[in-house]
Amino acid sequence: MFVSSSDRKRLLVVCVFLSALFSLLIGKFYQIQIVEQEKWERLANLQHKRFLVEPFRRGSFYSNTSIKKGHPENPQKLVYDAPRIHVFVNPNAFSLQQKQVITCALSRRLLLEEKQIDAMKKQLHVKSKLRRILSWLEPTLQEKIETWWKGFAKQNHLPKNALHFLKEYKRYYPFGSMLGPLLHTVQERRNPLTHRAVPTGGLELQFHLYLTGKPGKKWIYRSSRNALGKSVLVEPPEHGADVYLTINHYIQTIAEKKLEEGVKKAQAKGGWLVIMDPYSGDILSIAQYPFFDPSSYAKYFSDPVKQEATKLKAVTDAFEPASIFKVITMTLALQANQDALAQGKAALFDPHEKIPTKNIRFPKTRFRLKDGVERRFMNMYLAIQKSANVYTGLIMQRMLETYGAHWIREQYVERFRLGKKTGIEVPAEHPGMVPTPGKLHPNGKLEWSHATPYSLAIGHNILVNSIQMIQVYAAIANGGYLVQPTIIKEIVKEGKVVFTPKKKAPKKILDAYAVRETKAGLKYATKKRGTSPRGAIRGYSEAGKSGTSEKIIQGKYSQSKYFSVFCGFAPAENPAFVMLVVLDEPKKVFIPGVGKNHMGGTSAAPIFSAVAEEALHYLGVDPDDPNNQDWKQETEELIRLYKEWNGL
Amino acid sequence: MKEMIIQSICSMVCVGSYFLSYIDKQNQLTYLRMQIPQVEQEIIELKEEIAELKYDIDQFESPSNLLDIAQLPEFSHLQYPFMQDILSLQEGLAMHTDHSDRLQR
Repeated sequence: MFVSSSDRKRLLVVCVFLSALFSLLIGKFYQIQIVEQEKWERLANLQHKRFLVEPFRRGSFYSNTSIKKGHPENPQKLVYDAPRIHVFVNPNAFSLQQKQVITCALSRRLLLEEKQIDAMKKQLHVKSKLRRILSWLEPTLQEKIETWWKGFAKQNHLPKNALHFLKEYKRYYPFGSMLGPLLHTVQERRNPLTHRAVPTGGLELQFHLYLTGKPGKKWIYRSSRNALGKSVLVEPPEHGADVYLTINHYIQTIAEKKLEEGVKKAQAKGGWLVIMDPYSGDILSIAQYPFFDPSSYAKYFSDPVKQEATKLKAVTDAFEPASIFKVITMTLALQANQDALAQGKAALFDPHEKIPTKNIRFPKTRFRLKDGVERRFMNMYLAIQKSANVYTGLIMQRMLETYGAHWIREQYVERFRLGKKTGIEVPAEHPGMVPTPGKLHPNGKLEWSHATPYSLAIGHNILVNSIQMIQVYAAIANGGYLVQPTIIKEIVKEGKVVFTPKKKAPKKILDAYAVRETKAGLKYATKKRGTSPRGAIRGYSEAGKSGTSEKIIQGKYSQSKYFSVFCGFAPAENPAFVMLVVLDEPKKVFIPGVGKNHMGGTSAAPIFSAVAEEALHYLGVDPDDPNNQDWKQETEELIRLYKEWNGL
Repeated sequence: MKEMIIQSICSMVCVGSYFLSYIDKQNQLTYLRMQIPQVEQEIIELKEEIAELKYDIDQFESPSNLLDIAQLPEFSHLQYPFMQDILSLQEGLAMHTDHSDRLQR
């Protein structure tokens, strides 16, 4: 068919025009999809994708399972972070009837309690686009809820994302209230800005920065066709570091059980107990009664009486040590003997020396230091055995006359590190108080008066915390070295050690002579005619001292409230541990055939014996006194000497 | 001419098959890559389930429970071993056996 030239021209123009349009279209496609790809992808993500936080798992605490020589066990977790889900809804998307159906359906399927149903109803009726209606559900319930919701949303033409889930971790304690005041916990509600946990105290607070991780990121599609909850993890969370403790959970359980029994038997308000390795300073157990269960922390913090149980009193509370401090006075005097002899001077005293103790008055003091029973003559061993006040005061007098008050204070502070924090890795440690010559109390009276050294000698006018006391007794137990107490072995993150405690090197503070003589004195205390025979351990040797101090209530010594204390170590040679037991306000009552219930030898010493026996068995320590004959001959000799000197 | 056409058809079929198998392999890899996040999520969930089970085991095997059980008459014969009763050997030494007497027989 013949096409005229004008038609051809028109055809050409149309073709060129259409091609140009088509090219424009291709060009536009190229510009949008290739050149401006990132821009449109970003806009689309903003509209359709939503970024959510993927929670991290907080670090755990681990028990020390390597204390039994030749018998290591697997690491034991003391706290678990388990995943739980929260259910969120958009209440504005539902009608009143639908809200009722949702409440019925969920409460029936999940078997909710009345309180939970009421809370859910309340949240559903709030005018909001986002409310949490259920909290801390097990992840297995998510599928149950989702299955029901899919059908319900489709039937009622509701957007699928009107109900969604959020994952969070919750702390669980497999051993219940064990180590509650030490570990503490984290509050259920996280900080809404940082999405981080809020610790309630204890090691959770002290090591919060290590235990905390970094949340991850995940994105979800935000559209009515896709239910929220199907997500893609774009940045995995960084979980927190794990803290490995020196505490052994088995010894801790033994300590807590026996402490509870002892406190109830003594009808005391409460009590605490610390066990430490005398060579390394590792705290093996730190028990307290009444217990604190961290999983129900709210009950404790809302009650001022129960709140006391949340404090780790072995660290936060200082007390007058009373008679257990006499040992420190004697040890100091024995060490002063050695120092004097080394300088070519005469010794202050001889532990075997027969010293008169009747009708003694100390210079420039109005009060008279007395013993419960007046005695004519004593030596150091008898003084420790019978817990003699006058003899101890006389030894202090010799030190005072030879070296002066400043020297005595300096020895307590520099040699024994009293009046200073031990640096144990627990918050709120009480530093204690050692009186200072020349310094005034807040009430204007001198801290150090003429009578102070004599009351100091027997453990009054000074405040110590339990860790400081056990540190000093450990020096006697381990041959004269002051070790740094510690509760932390190391902190590990993703297999790497990120923290080890900076411990001071053991410092030699007592020589072998002072240690040997003090230990000998302590061994008499738990034997026949001693103040604490109830502290003796079946099958093992031990050395220890009891004490009883009046509590200071409103600035005055109470006549009805006491601290009942026992401090000792076992076995007496190469001890496995040193232990301090404190009972708070044991009932002041006389037990026929036993003695005064509130005395350390009556109520605290048996707890020491019970815990020590079971702990030594657990550790596999070979009985060094299977027939309970240790120190029997020496004790009989001392009893004979006492009778001879005192005309009995 | 005929041969050329047949040759070109054959070579096109070979090249086409090669490209097809390559695209098929790529599809398989893409499928696996898409599976990875799901598998990762499943592993995380399994680990969490293991932790929950371990928690249940720890609750039952807590020292408090064990101490109570140890008091029962049926377990009163159990004792902690003393150090003197435990023989410690270096790892691997206990597995070492002397075969020389067997060879002699």
